[in-house]
Amino acid sequence: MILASFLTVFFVFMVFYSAISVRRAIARYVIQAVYILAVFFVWNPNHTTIIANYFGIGRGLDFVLVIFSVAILNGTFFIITHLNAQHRSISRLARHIAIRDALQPASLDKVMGLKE
Amino acid sequence: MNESNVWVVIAAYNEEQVIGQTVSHVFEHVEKVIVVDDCSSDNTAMLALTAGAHVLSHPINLGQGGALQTGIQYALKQGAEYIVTFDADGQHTATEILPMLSALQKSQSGIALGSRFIGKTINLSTSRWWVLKLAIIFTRLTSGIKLTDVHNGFRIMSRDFCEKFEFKQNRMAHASEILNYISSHKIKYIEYPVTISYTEYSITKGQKSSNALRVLMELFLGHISK
Repeated sequence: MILASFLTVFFVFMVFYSAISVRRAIARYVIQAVYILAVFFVWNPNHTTIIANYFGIGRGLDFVLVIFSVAILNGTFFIITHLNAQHRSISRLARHIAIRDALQPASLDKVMGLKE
Repeated sequence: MNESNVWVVIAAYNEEQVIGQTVSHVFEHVEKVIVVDDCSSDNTAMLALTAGAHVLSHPINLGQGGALQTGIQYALKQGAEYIVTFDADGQHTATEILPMLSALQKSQSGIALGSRFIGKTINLSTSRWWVLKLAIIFTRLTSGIKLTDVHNGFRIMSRDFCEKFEFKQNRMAHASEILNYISSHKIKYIEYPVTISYTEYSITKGQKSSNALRVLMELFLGHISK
């Protein structure tokens, strides 16, 4: 009961969080639908078995675990892709700054003058 | 050979002990040198500038691959026809730059890759020899490219090659990235015998045998993360 209540509060929070954090409308609706469905399954766990049987999986819990694993892998993949893209942007920015501020040997006197 | 169109790119990170000497040795053979200071905490940049190099300084540390790409991009902007990548720690021999360039030009290839195993090694440890040989097998299996040395930073690239290729891997995996590119795009290349010297300084700096295992891991990660 306590765990079910906690999960309900968490999933409802995620429905509202998705509303403000997910830009693309279709992705937002799908994610919100998944969380609403998750609330339903928290209070009606036997229904997961009905759905699991439809997919050829014996137990509802196994079905949920499989879906959960897929969701985690997908999420991890998107995070890595996003991090790689950010990393490339940072590299390009650092490169642009280095080239823009390049020092040529003739500027040594100027640099020494600034340091003294 | 118009040597004013040849630019040497040296990526450097905390190399104040040797960078002046390295740059001076290169200047005995080539007119244009670029040192890319990869956010060093010592006087690498100033000493390189004092030695006469063009100096580019990264505001954050990117890694050797990232630093080389910065230097290559700058050299292209300066009109370079040939770009040499050369290590800062003194393991490469500057006297081999022009003969290697000559061999590249005669072969009309896009890139010349230095090889210590058809050249010479000084103070190469047995463990590192084994790791480098394993790296050759790994590269042959993954890229299909047949080389005698797959982890040598001494390269000479034509302008045409540099305009089409870009190091996207910032860290050590850039070594396998360029080989994968050569193989997948069927770029004409040559291998050239070079001398690699393992000095007390370079071993202390990072060429330990244990680091060689990290190189293998980076090669593997570089291959699967592309």
